[in-house]
Amino acid sequence: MSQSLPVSWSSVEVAVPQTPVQAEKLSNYDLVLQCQVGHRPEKAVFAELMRRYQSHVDKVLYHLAPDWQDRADLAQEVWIRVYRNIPRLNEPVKFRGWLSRIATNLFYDELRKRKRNSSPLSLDAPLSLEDGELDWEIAAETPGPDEDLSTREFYDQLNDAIADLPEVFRTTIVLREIEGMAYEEIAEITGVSLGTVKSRIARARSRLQAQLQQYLDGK
Amino acid sequence: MSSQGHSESNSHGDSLHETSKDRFELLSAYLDGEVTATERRQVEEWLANDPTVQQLHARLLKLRQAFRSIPAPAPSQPVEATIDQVFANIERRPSLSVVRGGNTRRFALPMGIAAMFVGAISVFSLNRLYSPSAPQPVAVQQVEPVETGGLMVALDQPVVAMPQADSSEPGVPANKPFERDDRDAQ
Repeated sequence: MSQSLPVSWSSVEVAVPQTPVQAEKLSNYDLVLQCQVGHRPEKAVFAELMRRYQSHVDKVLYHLAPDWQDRADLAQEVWIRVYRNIPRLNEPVKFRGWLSRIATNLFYDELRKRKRNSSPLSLDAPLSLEDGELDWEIAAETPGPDEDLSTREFYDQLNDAIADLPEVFRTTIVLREIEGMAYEEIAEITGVSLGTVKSRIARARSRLQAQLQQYLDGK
Repeated sequence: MSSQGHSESNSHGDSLHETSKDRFELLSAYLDGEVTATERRQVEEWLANDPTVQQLHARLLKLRQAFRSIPAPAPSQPVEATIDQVFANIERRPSLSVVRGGNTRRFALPMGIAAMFVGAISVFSLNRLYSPSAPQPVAVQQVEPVETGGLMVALDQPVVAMPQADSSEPGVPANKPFERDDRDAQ
């Protein structure tokens, strides 16, 4: 693979010294811009982008698909898509959202494949069709435990509570809270109405706040 | 699927619960800025006067904060391993646009003509290799790497029509606006 730096035509005559870009010193924004130079990102620059954003990809995939064992393969595919398409990203400042969206689309592609291949008796199947499985949990007033639980324990509880949500509620709240998507965008991705998105988000929150209230009410 | 108990049975009747559901949904949408002006005024009135709504609001704010600060899960493999795999994969799958390369303009005209010749041959062979029913870029994986010798540069268009949904590749969004990209500064 060529390691030469693409040079703009206007500056060719000036014999610009071809010092390699020190990717690790670039800001996130400049790093994305650097990945857009030329038709394909340079390896060193793109690898640095991966180092900075891999944890975000892991996080999105982990919460969307907590019980999938092959998330590493999915993450790899996310980056291949990013590599191929980053030169065409129009608003580099929105890279993080764009990356989330690629991971999310890939998750849904894969989910559809798995559902097609799963038996009709699969326990997962009805969950995506109905919203009725999740009860409302509103303003329960049971006292929390006395012990002061550590932050780590709280995040463990939160992760478990998210993973325990029925699939449609989990994906919807993850798109909202972890990926920061607007309702309209969630509706578009999940193929449901805005009203359904609103209801799913509220019900997911209702369940989570009830399960975690001893942590949320503290201090 | 774990089934949660009905918490409202502690202190709420059915009709009250219905009201609570509506309020909760509105409060939740309010938190996301997804309410009309009228709804916003309504929620703000509850927030001013209703202790239950105040308590829920406080909890939901903390829940949101927790979501935003939730640590990334332990990586399933070191990022350097992922980097190696991604590049091995990219190099194994010579996507047509990689073949296009960035150095087209460095070649002199005779080289360009030669490249077109090689390109034409590869169009022929690639077309045979592609299944018409699966024009996914992934299909390139099965293509034997074509000996380019740096001459493939004239291939300026994909051999197979790529699906044009939001973008040139399935699953890759057009550059849509996102909220909270300010979180980028991490």
